[in-house]
Amino acid sequence: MTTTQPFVRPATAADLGAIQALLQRAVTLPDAAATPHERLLVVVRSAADDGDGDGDGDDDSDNGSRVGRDIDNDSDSDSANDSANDTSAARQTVLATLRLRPVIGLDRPHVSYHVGCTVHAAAELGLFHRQRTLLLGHDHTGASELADIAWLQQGAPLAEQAAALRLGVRAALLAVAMQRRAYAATLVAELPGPRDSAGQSPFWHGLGRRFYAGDPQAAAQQHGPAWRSLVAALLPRQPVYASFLPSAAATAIGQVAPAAALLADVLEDAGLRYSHHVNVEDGGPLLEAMLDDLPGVATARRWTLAADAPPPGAPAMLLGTTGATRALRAAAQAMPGPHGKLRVALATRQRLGGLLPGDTVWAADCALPSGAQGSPA
Amino acid sequence: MKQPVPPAKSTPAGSAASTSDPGPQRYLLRAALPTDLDALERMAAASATGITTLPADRVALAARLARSTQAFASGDDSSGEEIYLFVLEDLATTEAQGRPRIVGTSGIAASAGFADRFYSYRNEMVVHASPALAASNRVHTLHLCHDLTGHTLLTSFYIDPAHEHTLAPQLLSRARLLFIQTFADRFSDRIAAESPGLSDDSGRCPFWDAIGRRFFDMDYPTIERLTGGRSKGFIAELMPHSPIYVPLLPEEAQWAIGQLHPVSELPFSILLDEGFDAETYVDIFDGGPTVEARLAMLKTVTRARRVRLRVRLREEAAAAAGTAGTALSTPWLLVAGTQRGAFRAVLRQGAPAGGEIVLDADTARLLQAEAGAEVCVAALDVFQAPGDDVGADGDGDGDGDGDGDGDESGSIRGTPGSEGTAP
Repeated sequence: MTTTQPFVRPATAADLGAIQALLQRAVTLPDAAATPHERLLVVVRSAADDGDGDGDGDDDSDNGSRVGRDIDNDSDSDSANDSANDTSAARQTVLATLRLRPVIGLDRPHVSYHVGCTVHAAAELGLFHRQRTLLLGHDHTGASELADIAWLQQGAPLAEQAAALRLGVRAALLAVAMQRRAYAATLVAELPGPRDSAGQSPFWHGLGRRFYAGDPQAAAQQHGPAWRSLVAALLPRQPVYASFLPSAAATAIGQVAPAAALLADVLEDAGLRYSHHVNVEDGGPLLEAMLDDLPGVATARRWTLAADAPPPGAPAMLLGTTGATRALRAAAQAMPGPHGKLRVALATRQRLGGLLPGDTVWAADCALPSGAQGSPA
Repeated sequence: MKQPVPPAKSTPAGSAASTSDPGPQRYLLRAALPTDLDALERMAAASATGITTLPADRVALAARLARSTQAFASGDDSSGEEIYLFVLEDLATTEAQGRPRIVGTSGIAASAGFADRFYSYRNEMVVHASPALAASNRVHTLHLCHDLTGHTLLTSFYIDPAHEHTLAPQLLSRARLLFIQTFADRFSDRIAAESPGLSDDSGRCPFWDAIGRRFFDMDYPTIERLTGGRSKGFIAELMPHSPIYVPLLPEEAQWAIGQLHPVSELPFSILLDEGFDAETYVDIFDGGPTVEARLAMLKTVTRARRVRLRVRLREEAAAAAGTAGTALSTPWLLVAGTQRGAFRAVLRQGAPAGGEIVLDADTARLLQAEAGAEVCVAALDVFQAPGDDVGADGDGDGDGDGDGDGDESGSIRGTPGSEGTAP
C-alpha cells in the first residue's frame, strides 16, 4: 500500500463517519438548497495498492518515494492514480475537515464575548490599573466562518497534520475567491480554549456556570451548536470585569487549547488574527480577517490551462477546479497577459479531474511559511 | 437581609427603677456647641470601626463643630453644604466642671454629595431565562448610581454603651427628624443614612476585598488616608461603573452585601422602625446598607404635631404626681423646640390635647420655650409601666422578654461611624 498527495474535495455522505470521528460529534452535510455556498470540505489522501493491477497508471517508484515525505511536495512525475482512486471515498483517508459558512448569525444569534480593556487611573494616588472586560455580543453577525475544523492527529507526523490543515484552509479561501460575492467581508474562525483532563473548562467554571448550572456538554449534545445562543440568554449582558473571575478563568481568556496550537498556527499563517473575542463556552479565541486582505483570496484568479508543463523549479500554487470540487497544491507557472494561461503538469491536470488544455482553473499563491518543509519539485 | 423591627411594646430593661431616677427625662438633646469638643473627641475615640463622620482627629472635629454651629445659627438660605451636630446630655450625671455629661451624639448632613456626586450601589434583580434550556435565574446585580445625591443624610450616631438600653437612643435618633421637619426648607424631602458594613477588627472587609481591592490593591483605611479627606466620589470614579454581577463575587462578599456591622444594629433598628427602606442601596466600599425614605412617610414625622406649650402650675404638678395610673397609659413623647439656633428636645410622658401640651416649668426651661410657644411633639411606641425603668423601645433592643438583659442589643456598642459619612 502506498499513499498519494492529499487533495481537497467536498464531503459526501460516505465521509460523514470519518468526519464525525474527527469532530467527535454528529455532523450533517450542507443543505444545498438552503445554503448553496456552504461547503463541508475534506482533505483526503488516496491509498493505492502496489501492483493492484487496476490499471490506474500508478507510478510506483514515485509513490514509493513519497512515503514519509512532506505531503506538500509535488512533482511533474506525480502519480495520476488519484483521479481514479479518489472516486472511491472508501479508499481515501480523511485527513482533515472544515466547514465554510458564507454567513453566520442570521438564522440564530452568534454569541461571543468581546475582550475589552478599561483603565482605572489616578495619578495623584499613583494608581494605574488596566482591566480586561468581557462583553457579550453578536459582533460577528454577518461574517463568514471557518468552522468544524478537525484533523487526523493519531499516528500522523506533525508536519503532515500541518500540511493537511493548511491545504484545507487554503482550499476554503480559494472557494471564497471563486464565489467572492457569496461571502462576507470578514472571516472568523474559532479556536478551542483550554480544558482539564475531564474536559471541563476553567473559563466556564468561573463564569458561565455561575449563570447556568446545567452541564454544558450535555446541553451541547442535546441542542447542537445552537446551545450557545440558548445559554447566552442566561449569561451576563453587561460588561464583566475579568478581575472578578477566578484566576484560572481569567487566565483562560483568549488562550488556545494546547491540542489546537497547530490549528492556530495554520490560521495565523493564512492571515487570520485574534479578534479580541472569545467563545462563551471555554474562552477560546476567535480569529478574524478581512477576506480580501488574505493572500489566499487576494492572489486567487482564474486561468486557462496551457498545454505545456511548467518548467522545472516552478513554484507550487493552490489549484482548484471551478465549483470548488477539487483543490490541491502543485507546481504551476503563470503566464500573465490578457489571456493569461497556467502551465501545469499532465499529472496535475489528471488529479484535478482530467482537465484539458483550455479548461478553466483557479490558482492562488501558496507559499509555505518559513520553516515548513517541502518545496515543489 | 434585615429583619423588620417587631411592633413596639413596653419592655423593661436596664436597671431597676428608683424614685430618684428621673428615667428618660434625664436626657436632653441639643445643638452641639464648640465647648462639646472634648466630649466629641472622647466619643470619636471610643469607636474604631466603620466609616466615621466623627473622625478621631481633634482638628477635624473642631472644624465640623464650627460648621455645625454656623449651620444652626445661619440666617442665610441653605446651600446644602450644612452639617448639624447634636449632643445628648445626661442631666442626672455631671462632669467635674459641674456640666451634664455628654453621652451621645448624632448629626445631619443637609445634602448628600453636596457639590459632588453621592455614590451608592443599587441592588437590582434581573431575570435571565432560556426556555429551551428550561432555565430561569434571578441574578443579583449592583449598579453604581447617584440616586441618593442631594438626599439629606442622617449621620454620626453614637451613644455611650451605658445608655443604649434606655430611651436615649430614641431621642438621639428620632429628634433629628423633628428638626428636619421643622426646618424643611433647609433639607431634602428624602432622607438617607449609611450604616457600616461587615469588617473585622483589623479593618479587613470582605466586600471591599472582592470589589474595591481589585481596582486599588489597597485596604480601605489606606485608600481613605490617601484621599486626604476628599469626597469619596474621587475614589468611586475609579470603581467599576458597569453593573457588578453578584454571583461572580466570592461567597463571603456576597453574604456581606447589605449586612450590618454589629456596632450599628441599634441605630439601624430605629431607622427600620421609622420606615426606612433598607433593601435598595448599599455602600460602595463596605457593602453596608444605606437606608432611604421620604421624610413625610417616616413614623416620627407622621406623628409629629405642632402644639402650644402650657406650663403646668405647681399645684397641678403636685396633683399629677398623685395620679398613679397616668404612666400606665400615657405614651412617651418626643418634645422639641422650634428654634433652629437653640434646638432642644426631651422625652416626656403626656398627651397633647386641645392643641396644647402641658409640661412642667423645668421642661419648658430645658426647651428654652416660654408658655404659649409652639413646640413639636411626636409619640413613641413606649408606655411606661409601674416599677419599670423605661429602657425598651420596641425598636431598639425590643426583645420583650422581660428579662431585662436587652437581649439583641446587649452587646451592642454605639458607633460614631454609623449613619453616614461626611458629605
